[in-house]
Order: sequence, then structure tokens, then C-alpha cells
Amino acid sequence: MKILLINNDGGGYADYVDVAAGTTVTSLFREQIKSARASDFLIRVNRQPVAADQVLQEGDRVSITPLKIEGA
Amino acid sequence: MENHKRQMLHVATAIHEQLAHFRSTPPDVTLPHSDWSYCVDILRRMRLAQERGWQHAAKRQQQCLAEQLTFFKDRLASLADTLAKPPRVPILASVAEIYRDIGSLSLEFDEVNWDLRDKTLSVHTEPITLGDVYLGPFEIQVDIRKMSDHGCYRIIAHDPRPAASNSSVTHPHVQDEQLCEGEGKSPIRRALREGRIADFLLIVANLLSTYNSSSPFVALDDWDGTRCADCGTLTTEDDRCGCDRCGGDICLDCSRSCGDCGSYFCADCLSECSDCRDAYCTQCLKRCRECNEPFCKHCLENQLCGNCRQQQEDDEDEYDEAMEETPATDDAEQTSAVLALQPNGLGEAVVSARLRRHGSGWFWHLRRRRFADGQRRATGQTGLHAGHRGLRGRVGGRLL
Repeated sequence: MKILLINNDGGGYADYVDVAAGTTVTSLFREQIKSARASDFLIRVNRQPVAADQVLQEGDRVSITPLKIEGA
Repeated sequence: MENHKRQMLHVATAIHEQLAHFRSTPPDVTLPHSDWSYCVDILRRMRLAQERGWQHAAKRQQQCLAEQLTFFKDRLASLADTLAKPPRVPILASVAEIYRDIGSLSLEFDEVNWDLRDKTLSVHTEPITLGDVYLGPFEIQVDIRKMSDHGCYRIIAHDPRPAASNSSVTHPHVQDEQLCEGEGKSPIRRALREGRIADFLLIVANLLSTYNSSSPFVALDDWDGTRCADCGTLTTEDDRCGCDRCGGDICLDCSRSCGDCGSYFCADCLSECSDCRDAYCTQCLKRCRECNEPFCKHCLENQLCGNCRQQQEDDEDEYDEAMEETPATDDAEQTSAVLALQPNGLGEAVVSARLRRHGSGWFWHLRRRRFADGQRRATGQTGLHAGHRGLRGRVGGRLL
């Protein structure tokens, strides 16, 4: 199934990605943001805060925004 | 539709229209006229050099022209590529998505406002404290009409606690209401281009909650004032000045002016005159040519300090006295013999010398070795034997 993934980490991007049915928010995070802690990010599904084990649905909009972004 | 939602829709539509207009703007094509003019100029110089027979200059201009033409060719190729390829159009959020984004802002921020007349959308952050420094809440205000520009948003401190050293710095990464985005620059640009207004505001808010100690406008350690480089006291902008040599910040109590040029310096950049002990900068102090100690211009005369001048006068007096008291000896005969080597005066020069002891004898060490023929000679000593213990002085004589 396709979801819209918005990753604001690094360069930032928004793209549709295929995920397996039954994918949870945590498993998507682990897949997309390797070697990082979920607690360091603001994760929203369809612009709403969600539980870590929420199962994603077709067409969901998932945004991942780091909490710590360093200015200069 | 409720008035609130209607207004939100107006804001969403205004944002979408602004971004869509920006996306439809054709690329700005500028032909490299100035690069070509430069090539023409080099060619003109090359021909001029050839006409005048300046082979080396002509060759250099030819090489320069070859390099410039290569650069010009690359510029043209790059421009052609830009025009040939269809521009990569980023995803643009629909009006409905922007509307939902604006609606979600109230979940993330304490306060969300818009002004349809001024075309602004703003959110208020929670009060921000970085380290132990309270900075207060900030308003992130977006100017919708400038959403395609870099400076489309302002960071307004609502309970401003600016740095003591600079009142325009209200946050370590905000100066004059402009955020220095650092590593947030790319995701901010992308979110803005794609109309993800909520993402953009969240990134900016998270950036405001993060401190990067490596490159702030004012470091948190110096927030309440800049430490004086000399005494370490925290000072405000009005209570300090910069050292004119090293640029270090020093409080007014520690800043001292050079007794000669009047510029202000920190303690490390000032030295004392070895005689009068007044403070001078290193540029205004000169070294005595005899003892090499630093002195101010008032304490130096003919590049000699007072002590060295006195010593010189004493030496001359001692020498004069010694010469008057010295009976004719073998040494004196030896001197005459040497001086008689060139009775016609060839190679004569006025030379100053010092008597120094070597082994059992005393020798004149030449201090100037330039002779009348204009050549310098590396002779270290004359071989004259004076035989006066402790005798030092300057002589004018005919020496080889």
C-alpha cells in the first residue's frame, strides 16, 4: 500500500512510498530513519499525534520532524 | 461555513496562489555577456602584446584567453542544460491540504493568528529556555506575499530578553528577527516550496528550541554580557571596547591607551617603556640598538636609551684618560706598524672598535667593517694589542 512520507530530517523530502500491510508507525520509523531514537522526533499521522504501535493505512500522511535542529 | 473556517480557507488559498505563481514563473535566463567581454578584452591585450613584440606577455595572454574561453564554454553548456531540461517541479500541496495544515497548527502551538489584510500567518511558541537562559516565547510570522523568498518569515520575541552585548540578538540564532537556519535551511526551503506550512513552522519552532554552541550570534555563556579579556568581568556593549590590536573585548576599567598613538589596548597588547615605565603599544616602542630593550620615543636618543648613552660617554672618557696615561710600549709600536701599512691612506675609514679581552691580550673588535673602497670585510679583530685591562672605547683610526 502507498503512504505519503514526509521526512524533515536532513535535506527533507516528501514522497509516496510503498509499505507492507500491517506496518506500524514504529516499524516505519526504524525502516526510514536508521540509527535514531523515535523520541528525538515528532511523528504525526494525518497531522495528528499517534501511538507508536498504530498500524498505517493506505493513503496515510506520515510526517517525521526532528526535535533538535541546529541553527547557525 | 463558520467565519473562522472561511478565513482559514482564504489564508490557504492565498498561500497556494502565491506558491503556484512562483512555480509558473519561467527560469531567469541571463546570458554571460560579462564573461564574453572579458574574453574580448584579453584578446585585445594579446594582440597589442604581439604588435609590440612582447613575446612573453603575448604568450601569457594567450594562455589566459584559452582558460577564459573554456570557462565561458562551460557557462554556456550549463545554461543550455538548464533550458533544455524541464525544471523539477516539487509537489505542491493543494488548497485543501494547506487548509488542513493550518487547522492542525492549534495542536502544535499555543496561539495561531492570521491577518487577511496584511497577508500574514503567525504562530506563537511556548516560552523557550536554552541552558539556564530564559528567552521567552517567540512569534513565527510568515509573510504570505513573500513565500517564495528566503526572508518570508520573521522571528519576533514576545518577551524579549536580548543578549546584553547586542540588543538585536533575541535568541542565539536570531538577529534582527532573522533566523540563521543552519542545518534547518534545506528542510525549511523544501517545506515552503511544497506548501507544507505546518512542517515549515514545526521545523522553525524546533530550531528555536535547539542551541548550537558552535556558531551562535551570541553564545549563551555570554548572554548576560561579554567577559572582559583581562579581568573576566561581564560587560555590556556600553561598558567595553575592543583592543585595537587583537580585537579582544575589554572593559573600560581595563582598557589602557598607548602613551604615544593614543589607541586603546588590552593588557597583553601593551608593554612598558624600560625607562619611564609608561604603557605603550608594541608599534610605538622601539628597541635600543645597544641593549635591545624596548623604550618609548621620549626615552630614546639616536636609537640609544639613557643608560647606553651614559655608558658610551663613560667609555669614551675612560678611553681618553687611559690613552693619555699609557706610556709608549711594544703594543703602541705594533699599532704604528699596522697603521703604517698603507701610508697613502688607501682603504682608510673611520671605524669604531671595542677593546675586548682574548686570552692574555686585549684586541680591538671592529664594529664597522665598511672601508673606503665600499666593500665590507669580515674581519673580526685587528690584531692590535692594547694591554690595558678593562679598557673599552671607541676609536677613530686607520685600520685595515
